[in-house]
Amino acid sequence: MKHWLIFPAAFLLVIFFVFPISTMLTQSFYNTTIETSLPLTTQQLKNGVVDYEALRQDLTDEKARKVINYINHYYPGARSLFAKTINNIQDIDDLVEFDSRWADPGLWKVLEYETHSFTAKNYTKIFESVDSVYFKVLTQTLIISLAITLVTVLLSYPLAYFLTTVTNRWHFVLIMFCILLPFFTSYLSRLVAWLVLLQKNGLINQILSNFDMSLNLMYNTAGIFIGSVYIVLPMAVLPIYAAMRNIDMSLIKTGSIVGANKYQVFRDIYFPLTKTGIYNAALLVFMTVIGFYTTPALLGGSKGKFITEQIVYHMEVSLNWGLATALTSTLLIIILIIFYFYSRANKDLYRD
Amino acid sequence: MIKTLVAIFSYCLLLFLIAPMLVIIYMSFSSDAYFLLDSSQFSLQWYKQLTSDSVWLKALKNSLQIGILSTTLSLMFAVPAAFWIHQNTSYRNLMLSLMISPMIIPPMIAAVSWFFYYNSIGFFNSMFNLILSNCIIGIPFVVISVLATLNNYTWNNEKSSLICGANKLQTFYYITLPAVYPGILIGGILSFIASFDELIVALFLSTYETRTIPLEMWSSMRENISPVVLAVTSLLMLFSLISMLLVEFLRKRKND
Repeated sequence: MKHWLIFPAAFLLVIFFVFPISTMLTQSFYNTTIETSLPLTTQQLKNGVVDYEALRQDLTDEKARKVINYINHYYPGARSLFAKTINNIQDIDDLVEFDSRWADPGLWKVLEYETHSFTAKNYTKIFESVDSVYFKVLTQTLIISLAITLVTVLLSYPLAYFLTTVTNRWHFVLIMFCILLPFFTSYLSRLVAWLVLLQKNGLINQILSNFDMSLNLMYNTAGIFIGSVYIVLPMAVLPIYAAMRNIDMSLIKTGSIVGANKYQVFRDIYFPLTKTGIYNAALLVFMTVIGFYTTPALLGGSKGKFITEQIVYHMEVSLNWGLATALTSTLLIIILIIFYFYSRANKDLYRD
Repeated sequence: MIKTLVAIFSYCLLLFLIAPMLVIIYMSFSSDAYFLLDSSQFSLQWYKQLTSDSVWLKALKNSLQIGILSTTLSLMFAVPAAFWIHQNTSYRNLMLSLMISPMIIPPMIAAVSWFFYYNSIGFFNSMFNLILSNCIIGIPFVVISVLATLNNYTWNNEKSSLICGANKLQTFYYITLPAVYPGILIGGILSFIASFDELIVALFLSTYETRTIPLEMWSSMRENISPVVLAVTSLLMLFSLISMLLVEFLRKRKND
């Protein structure tokens, strides 16, 4: 066989996809914020040396600014100390002479603790108790995603059935158009639409104000629900429709001939035959919703209801990269578990 | 009775699916900056503003550059891989899982990983990183659609061609390629759409110089949404419509 056909793609994916993700997984067991921002100091600390000169050199680099907020968490007052020093770094020869706080053993204890290489600290922070912020966000993400999945599947089942009953060709094309156009349109464009509709002064509230009513549809769970269901609905209709189309209608006829009423035919014959479609749709939707970031960040308010929002917060604002990678790894493991069930149900998905 | 209920329910749901799109197109031609229904008149001002706005034009240039280059790369890597997966039985499932994994793993996880990876190997060129990342995100789309075409394909024509004296290259060019090109095109279109829409990766890897259309839309949406975004969205919808029609046309052609 011509094995060179697969090599480039496999090589690319291993080097630039599998490897980065495994690095991220191992990184979640390390503190990297200080190591990346203050490399020389970290190296000296690992040798057991408190080196002011190394720290001074690290501080001449602009990326040292990234560490300010992070250290301030553990050592109050670090923000002003770091900012002041970095702003004047060109004129400083000796840190301790510039500000005696640099000699404080407390500060160096924090720095040393934060450069300890292997740690499960990031995970204990998430799972230390059921009351921890991150554990709550995690369960909240799972519950909201589950509810969205349930609603989506319940809504798409009748629609998929309706599709199977349409006989006129143009009628069918029109319905498919309504389902596929949103499916092909980007997430963000679809969210723009809901932003304009759901805002406080949005179109829905403008119409409702004629009847002296107003609804809070954004910046709460309702907003996440509407936006997410809208995005994943086509994704659920298509597999359920595919399962329904493959049903052998003679089975239904046989059912009614042998005396089952309509309800019994549905419960005992039709519904069981569509179960795989429902199962597939549900797993696909769940897997997608749980990784959503844009929808909850835009329509769900500032509290950060989804785990992805916490990841972005710790990546970009608090710069607690250890925690960010631990949260990302947790999300990855959840996704892989769901995918295991999905692929087991679809063993022969791409075979024929 | 139940049938009528199902029909009514389905029409309501279809309205729910299509109405927001129509509203956006309608509002993008309205003169009012605050999305008010009453006081609006027909106007093209947001489109005019868009075509003269250097920020959006730059974003468009970046998005097109990333989209075209990453799609080309995806095709170059994924099309041979799809042929291999189609012909092999050993390690087939392993390789298939590897190829479609970028589709299963949410972009957030990949983006966080890439952010650290590119930093740690000391190779941080925003444009190149974005192209490479989008290429990887596009690979599954190409592999799946090419595989779907190959599954309808019999290799007898190739054998006949070889027997009749054509060499391998000629056979590939005259027999195999015309048979599978709808799959390759579909994969290319889907992977281009995916990279043109990609926000999360751009959020982590973009610099000021490499901001893309989704990134500009996102910052506008997070602050005070300007009607110019509606014009952008309407144009993107037109683009989705064209690509959807193209994909459906190619699918039909493939099945005939």
